[in-house]
Amino acid sequence: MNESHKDMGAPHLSKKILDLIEQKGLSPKPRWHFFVREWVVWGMVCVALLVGSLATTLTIYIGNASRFMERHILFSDLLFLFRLVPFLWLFLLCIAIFYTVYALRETRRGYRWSSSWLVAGAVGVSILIGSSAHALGIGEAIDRYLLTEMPLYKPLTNFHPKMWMDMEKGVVAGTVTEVEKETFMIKKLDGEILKIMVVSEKDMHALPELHEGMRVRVVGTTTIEGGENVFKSTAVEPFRGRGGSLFKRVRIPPLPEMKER
Amino acid sequence: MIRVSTEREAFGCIVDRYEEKLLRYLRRIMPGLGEEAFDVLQEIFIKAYVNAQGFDTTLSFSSWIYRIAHNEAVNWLRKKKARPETIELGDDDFQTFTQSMEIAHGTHERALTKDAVTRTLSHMPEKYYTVLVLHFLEGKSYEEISDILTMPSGTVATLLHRAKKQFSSIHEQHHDE
Repeated sequence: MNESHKDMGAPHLSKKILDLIEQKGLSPKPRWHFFVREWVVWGMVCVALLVGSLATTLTIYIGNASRFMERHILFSDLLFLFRLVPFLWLFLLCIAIFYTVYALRETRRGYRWSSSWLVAGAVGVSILIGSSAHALGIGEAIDRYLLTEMPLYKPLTNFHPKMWMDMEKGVVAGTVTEVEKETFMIKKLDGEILKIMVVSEKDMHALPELHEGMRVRVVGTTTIEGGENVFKSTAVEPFRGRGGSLFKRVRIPPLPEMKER
Repeated sequence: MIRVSTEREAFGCIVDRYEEKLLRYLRRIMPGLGEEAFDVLQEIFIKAYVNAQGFDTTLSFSSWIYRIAHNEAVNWLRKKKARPETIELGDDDFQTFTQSMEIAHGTHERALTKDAVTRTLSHMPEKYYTVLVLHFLEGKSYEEISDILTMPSGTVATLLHRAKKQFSSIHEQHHDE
């Protein structure tokens, strides 16, 4: 079975192969061909990691923005919380991780790492770059850009600004139109003007950034005072895009009667 | 011109050095190949020549050329839609294999006969059979098998462990029948 072809009287294989190489005019592929291939593959790895990092940034940003509601009012409303999950970006993150692992496997020595290490590495790098980009405000910038420039983005990410304006659930959003000693007025996202009551002067001092034209989100309860709707606030937060954590969040101590909520 | 001629001469030496080894490997993983083995072998050396500049110097040359041989064999089997049905073991291979398996696996309760071993190997999935051949017949280390089959060494170790386990199980099963 292991009898050599030389013993069988066949022509010497090396001569046969060298003749064939000469006859066909074959020559070794140049070294740069392999370098280019390797660089292209690493380029694909970088692109996939970049997409994964951006998806992570957006996931962190949107998750952070939604946390404002989760923290204050919606912890029991699972269906609503489900709508806040940035599935589009999570899906893109999964695709990017999958593609990163695939491209890494195609690198010269990629086969030496196990899939679990490659996935862990890709997720780790995406989180590292993604959270750095989030800290720089890149996630917010991209989200705002897509919300204003891409009509399809809003429905894809389940973004409905009015969900930040459910007074029954104790949340309202709008632009500050007037700031007084203990109260401030906001123009809600639906255009209606609402008076927000802050507990005391001390609390007003806690809102140094509050100024006309600033977009805010407010958590509290609605009461009627002097025949008009007044919203008593327990927390105020600047509202840019979806919210975001670029600005320092301002907390107002809850009013005594609100502690029972 | 002189450089090309020297390169080709050097390549001729490589062919002389590896043709026996690769032919033996091809026949082990593609039993019943017959004269077509030389066509496959020729294709392997042509590919090695054309891709010579892509040789990764961190690998051993042997692993690199075995990798080309293995890929070529897999392609050939895929093209022909063939699957090795009956494994044929030479006397030397049988000796090496049973000795290695016994060392690796402890002495079998039942003696390994050549018929039983070939029958057992013929019933094993290709991936298990390939790692057994590379490790026990070709004498390749985990690291070398990892470079040949382009998979992590941990996976090679797992495959080898499962292959040995499956070998014992199929062997027992056939013996009972």
